This record gives sequence, structure tokens and C-alpha cells, in this order.
Amino acid sequence: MSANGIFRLEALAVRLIGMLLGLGMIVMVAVNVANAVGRYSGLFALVGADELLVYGMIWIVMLGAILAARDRSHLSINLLPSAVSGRSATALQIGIGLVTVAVCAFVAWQSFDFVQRIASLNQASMGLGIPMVVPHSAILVGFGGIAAVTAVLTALDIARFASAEEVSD
Amino acid sequence: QDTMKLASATINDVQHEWQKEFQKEMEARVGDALTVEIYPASQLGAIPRMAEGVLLGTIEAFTTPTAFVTNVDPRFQAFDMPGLFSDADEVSAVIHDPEFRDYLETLFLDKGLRIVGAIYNSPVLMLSREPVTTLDGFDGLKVRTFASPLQMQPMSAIGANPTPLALSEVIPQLQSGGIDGMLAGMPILTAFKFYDTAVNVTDINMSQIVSVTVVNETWFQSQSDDVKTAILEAGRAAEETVFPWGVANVERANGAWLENGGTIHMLPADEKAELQETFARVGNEIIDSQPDVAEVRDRIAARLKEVRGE
Amino acid sequence: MTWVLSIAIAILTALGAPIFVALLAGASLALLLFPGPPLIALHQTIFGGLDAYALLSVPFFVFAGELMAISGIANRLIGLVRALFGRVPGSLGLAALGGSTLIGTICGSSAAAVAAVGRNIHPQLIDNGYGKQRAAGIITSSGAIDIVIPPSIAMILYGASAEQSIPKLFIAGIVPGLVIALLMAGYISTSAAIARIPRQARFQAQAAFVAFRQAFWALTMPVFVLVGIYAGLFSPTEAGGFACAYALFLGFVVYRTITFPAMLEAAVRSAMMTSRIMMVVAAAGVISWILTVEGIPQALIQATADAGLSPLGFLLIVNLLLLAIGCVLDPTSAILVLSPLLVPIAISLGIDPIHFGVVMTVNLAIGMFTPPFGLNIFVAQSVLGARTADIYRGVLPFVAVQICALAFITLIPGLSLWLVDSMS
Ligand code: NA
Ligand code: NA
Repeated sequence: MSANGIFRLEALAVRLIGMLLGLGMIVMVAVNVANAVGRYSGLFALVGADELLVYGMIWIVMLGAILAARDRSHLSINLLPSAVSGRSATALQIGIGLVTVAVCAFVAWQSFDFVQRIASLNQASMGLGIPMVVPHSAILVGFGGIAAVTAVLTALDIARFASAEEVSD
Repeated sequence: QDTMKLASATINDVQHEWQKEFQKEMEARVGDALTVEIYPASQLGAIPRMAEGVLLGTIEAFTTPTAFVTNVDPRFQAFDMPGLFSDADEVSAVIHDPEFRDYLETLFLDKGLRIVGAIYNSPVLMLSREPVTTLDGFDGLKVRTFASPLQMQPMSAIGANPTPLALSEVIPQLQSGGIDGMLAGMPILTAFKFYDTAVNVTDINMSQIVSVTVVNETWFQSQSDDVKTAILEAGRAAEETVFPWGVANVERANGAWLENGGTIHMLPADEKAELQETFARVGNEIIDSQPDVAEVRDRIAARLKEVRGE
Repeated sequence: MTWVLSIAIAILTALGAPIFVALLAGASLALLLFPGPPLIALHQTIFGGLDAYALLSVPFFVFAGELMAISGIANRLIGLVRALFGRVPGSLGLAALGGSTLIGTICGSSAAAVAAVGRNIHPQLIDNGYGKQRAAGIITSSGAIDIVIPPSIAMILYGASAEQSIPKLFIAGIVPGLVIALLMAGYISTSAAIARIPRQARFQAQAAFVAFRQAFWALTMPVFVLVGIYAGLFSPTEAGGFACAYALFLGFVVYRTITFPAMLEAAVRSAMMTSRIMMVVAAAGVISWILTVEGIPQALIQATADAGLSPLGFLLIVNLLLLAIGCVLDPTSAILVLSPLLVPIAISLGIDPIHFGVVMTVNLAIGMFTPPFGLNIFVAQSVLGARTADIYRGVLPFVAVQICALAFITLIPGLSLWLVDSMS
């Protein structure tokens, strides 16, 4: 596939995940309202609505975190980054990127271990009875995704840093 | 030197008392060969996290009412069958019977859990905003239950409207009338000072809460034989010691409830009998559909027959 | 171990690494270098940090704030405040404070309030000459009131772990919450007057009436949410969902200002904001867990207990301790871990446990926006697009103001207890 094709595919994936997050938020509002209305009216009880909402939120948080890693928009104290510029800024960004990849890959690895073990124990949730692998996998996907996205971004940074060496400074 | 983190969701109740007793017993038996650290009041996380923690070994032991671990193994439901035990002495006669206790200790080994404590907790009552003194009083009442058939279906059967709700929402909803009542044991009701929110308790004696301490079997097997023996002995010694404490604690809680302006209602004798009968019938129906749970219930029922001299 | 943890976290955050990365790097290093709990505890405590029903108020109120912005509800409300009180120095700053206090009466999470109010009022603060620092300071510090004014997740947790009456705690929080709001209002207004921030033209009944008519439906939104909570239609956590639903109703049906694509876009932005906030919450949960199993908070409290202090001395030490702990622990974990340990000491010194609960809550609320660490700071930075340096400088006077309030609340137990006593 051409580089252009990859970029377009990536843009499509980002859009799709974004839409999924937005629709997820709207569905959560609907479930939340329906649950309260059912309880107040005494007409129906949505057993497990609280689980659905919390697990939904966890998935939204983790998928959103991958997109935030791609935008480099995670919460941080930007005192130093906003004080430096040029090559030192790129170097700082590369350093932070490498730490992020290492930490998130490590968490994803531990998460993989955890998810495997919880799967073998056949745990189901209390209210909905869904396998606990489903909500727990969000952590694995989220941290795995952050590590992967950040690895690509950092690789691009390094390439830029190296090629700029011959031109500037 | 190894550490045993012993977690629970509550504090200053019979579970916490068992943990303190167990800690003392262990110190007397093995000194500092094992350090027992107690983490009450959900300090190590919410109940489902503590259950997973002990399954996967991030914490070594967890003390909990059986109703909170039925998703770990459905067989824990057997203890929460409505109408099964009639009082504390019956619970004690079953769970402290050496033969049954041996059976219980290893019942969940296939899940990687060993039971090292079997603790009488308290009867399940109903708290409500308005007094409920007859069977008719349950009609249409929105009662907070666990999202478990063993609590929901018996409540439906007597005309109430079972309403599962997150624990953090219970008090605001009870205050505003979003729910009319909840199922709970008296020690919980007084510990959280529920009498400031609603003053009526109906003694429905739905079931008797049994708490267990489960320990991660892999961790347990990694200990020396001396420590293993000590854990088993200390657990059983502690549960015998705290049984009278637990019974007295329920009495104390009842007293505190009355002292703080609460009331405890009884149904008329014939209606109470009808209630117990309905509870037992619905409970049996639910459990009969799960053969492995029924097997545990039958063990309990058989022992109860002996106790009752039937 | 604590040193490795804190140094790693401090260096990485100072370098500008994402907060959650810094926290998890510290946690991973601590777990790797000092054998103890198995490494999968990382996953378990991250998941545990997110798996809490009460946290749902964060996504819902963030979304409600977005919807209030795109539907024009927020602008109409702000327009009304300005038409009514535009002559008062700092009126727009007071509107931000009032907005936070109002959201505080319907929600128990201050990060959500910072996001919702910041999204709506910050641009106007900047346009009206408040300057980056003052605007950021007002928004970041106002949200803290939310966990003091009922309903409050922090107080529910304190009640549960310290075995205190939650309704009494809620009542006890009302006056201290208002004391904080009043002191804040006094400071905002006075400092705006000193800084000569331009005021509106003189009050005109005609203009006020027009603004009221324009804001009428928007005004029904907080009314709807408050009535819904106190009539038992929905719980405080569910209130966020209903706030979204009502804002959608106003936007789609009444004002016809929202389109489906705009709603979806707002939902995506809210999801992203929620995600950024919750990643920090989850990572802070890991740190809390490690500190707890290492016995750090327990040791600090033991040292406090052994010092043989007077009740007042104890309260002062506790204030310092909690402000410091508020830097690293989130209020939820801090309360769960600390209150079972601190409350027995407080009671033995004759301090009323309800008063003590209010003192703890106010402390942790202040800790959430006291530099260098604090969830509200990170949220504000992300919502307002402000620089950390501006937020740090902006919040400092408000830290001072709220510590003053804390001193009153600590020294005068009556502020917390008077309403409780008069109601029972
Ligand atoms: Na609040
Ligand atoms: Na802080």
C-alpha cells in the first residue's frame, strides 16, 4: 500500500473510532434516562444498567485515550514544553514518547496476563452476566493502542530529528 | 517473611472482628513467620476488585458475605437461599459442624479458593420509609435489592418491586423517595446510621447472611506446612470465638436502632409463616434449576434436619 | 520505595510527560524494583480506578456542559446574569462562581464542574478583560465547592468508611460550602474592582426583561435537574444524564439551535475530555493502592497519633497532612484510606466526627487545585487550553482565600454543626 493509502486508512479509522465514542456517549445518556424512568414509574427495572454504563464508560475512556495519544492531547503540565522550542523541543518530545511507549507497553503486557487469567476463570459480571473479559479487555486495547500510536509518532519524530540534523542548527 | 493482606468491605463488624481475632491467633501460632495485614472498609478496592484480587493473587485473602461472590462461583448462592436457616444457632450448627466445615473448606478449590473462615453475620431485614406491618404493605413497594434472582424473585413474589441500585445512590434515593426501602442486615443499617434517613424496619428474616474468608490457594500452597496448618486452625478458632460476638453484635445493633428513634415491626404470626413459605418456595425453585448449587443446599438441609431432630 | 515513586513522578511530570504516564511509570518502577504485590496489580488497580458508578457524573456533566454551549443555553444564562448584575464589579467572574456552585448542588464531582463551567464562561471572561491568569484561576478554583455542597461523593465515602450519617454530613456541608462561595465572591469582586475590569452600563429594566425572556427556558434547566433530584425522579449521578437529555430537548425542540451532526460532534468532544480526565483518575488509583499496601498513609497517621497533640493542634496537623496528601491521592482514595485511621483519633480528642468530615472534605477539595498537582488543574488546562504557568499563578490567590475559609471552618465547628443540630 502507498504511504498516501495508509494515511487515508488511518484517517478513516480515527473518524470511525471518534463516531463510535460519540454514539457511545449518546447511548449512555439514553440508558441512564431509561433506567431512572423505569425505576421511578415502577414499570420496568433495567437489571445491570449500572454495569452497562460503567463498562461503557471504561471502553470510551480507553478508546478515547488512544485518540488523545494520537493528538498528543493527554493532560500534562506543559511548563517546560512551552518554554523550549526547535530541536530541543523535538528531543524532549522524543524522550517523552519513548517513556510513554515503554510504560504503556509494560501495562499492556501485564493487562494481557490479567485478561488471560480472568478469561480462564470464566468470571461473569453480577448484574448483566457478561464475561468479565469484555470490560477488562478495554485496558489491554487502550494501553496497547497508546503504545502503538505513540511508537509510530515517535519514530516519525526521530526521522524528522535525524534528517533536520543536516540542514539546521 | 511473607505478608497476608486480608481485605473486606466493612469495618467494626463481625467480619472485621474475625480478621482481628485471626491476626491474634496467627501471631500466637507462628509469630512473625507470617505478617497478617488487615484492610477493612474497601481500602483495597470495591468488592468485585477484591474478589478478583484474591482469585488472581494480588491480595491473599478476602472476607465477604457469600452474596457478593456468587459470580465467582454460583454455589455460594446456597447460603443465601431465602427461608433456609431460621436463626443464628442453626447457621452455627451447620457451618461449625466439623464434617460440613471440612466439606466447605475445599468446596471452591477448583476456583483456586480455599475457605479459611465461615462466619455468622446477621439476618436480612427490610428497611422502609413507611411502616410495613402486614403482607399487603409490600404491594408495589420499590425495594433496593442486589441484582440477584435470590433477592429479586422472592420480593416480586410478595408483591414488592425489586430495584437494583448502586450502593452510593441508596441514601439520596431513599431520602427523596426514589426508592421506598432496601434489604440489609441490622449491623449495616446502624453502622451507616440509616435511621437518619428512614426509621422503619420490618423483621422479614429473609435469609441469614453468612460471611466467608477465602484465601488464594496458590499462595496458600506456597507457605510452609507449619504456616498452612496455623492458617487453617487460626481461621476455625477465630470463627468459633466471634460467633457469640456476632450474635451479640446483632443484638447491639437492634438496640442502637431503637435508641436512635428507629422501630422494628413484626408481621402477624400467620402472615410471617406465609412469608417464610413463599420465600422458601421461590428460593427452592431458583436453586433447583442449578444442580451444583442444589447439591450444596441439600448438604445444608440434611445437616439442618439432624439439628432440628427431624 | 516511596522515593523512587515520587522522584520518577516528579521528574516526568516536570518534563511535560502525560500525567497518567508519569504516575504509571512511578508505579511500574516501584513494583519492579521492590518485590511485593504481583505486577498484574497494575491492570487490576487501573480497572478498579475506573469501575465506580459515581464516576459516571464526569462524562455526563462534561457532555451537559458541551450541550449547554452549542445550544446557546449557557450564553442566555450568562446574558441574564450580566443584565441583572453587570454593574457589580467582577459580575462575570461571579457568574462563573455561581455556575460552579449551582452545578455543585446537582453533582458530586468537581472535575465535571470545572469542565462544564470552563467550557461556557472562560471565553467570555477572556473577552471581557479578565486576563488569562485571573480567568483560569476563577474557573479552576470554583469547581472545588462541588464536593463540599451536597450531594457529594467524597462525603458519601467519608460517611461509609467513618461510619457517620451521610444525611447529616450533607447538611453539615451546606454552610461551609456557602462560606467558601462568599469569600470567593468577595475576593473576585474586590480584585476585579481593583484591577478596573470594565463594568456594564447601568441597570436597565427593559434590557433585563428582554434577557430574562431570552433565558427563560434556559433557566428551567437547573430547576428541572434540582427538582428531579429532590423529588426522587433520579439520583445525583443520574442527574448528569438528565441534564444532557434536557439540554438536548431545549436545543432540538425549543431553541432549534442543535443539529444532529453538532450533537454528535459535542458527544465526541465530551468522550475525549472524559477520557483525558479518567486516565489521570485511573493512574492515581494505582498510586493510592501502592501507597496503601506499603502502609505510608497509615505510618503518617500513626506518627500524628503518637505526637500527643491538643484537638486544635491535631486539626492543624491534619490540615497540613491532607493538603500535602491531596497532591498525590485523589479525594476518593484519600478518604477511603485515611478516614478509618483518622476518625478514631479525632473522636478520642473530642472532635465531632461530622465536623471532622467537613474539614477533611474541604481540605481535599482545596488539594484538587493546589499546585503543582491536582485533577482540576489538569482539567482546566485541557478545557481552557491555558498554559500551566497561567493556571498556577491564577489559582494562588484562590488557594489563599480557600485556606482562609478552611481556617474558619476548622476553628468554628458551629459552621458545620449548627444546621445539623437545629434540624434534629
Ligand atoms: Na455537590
Ligand atoms: Na494539589
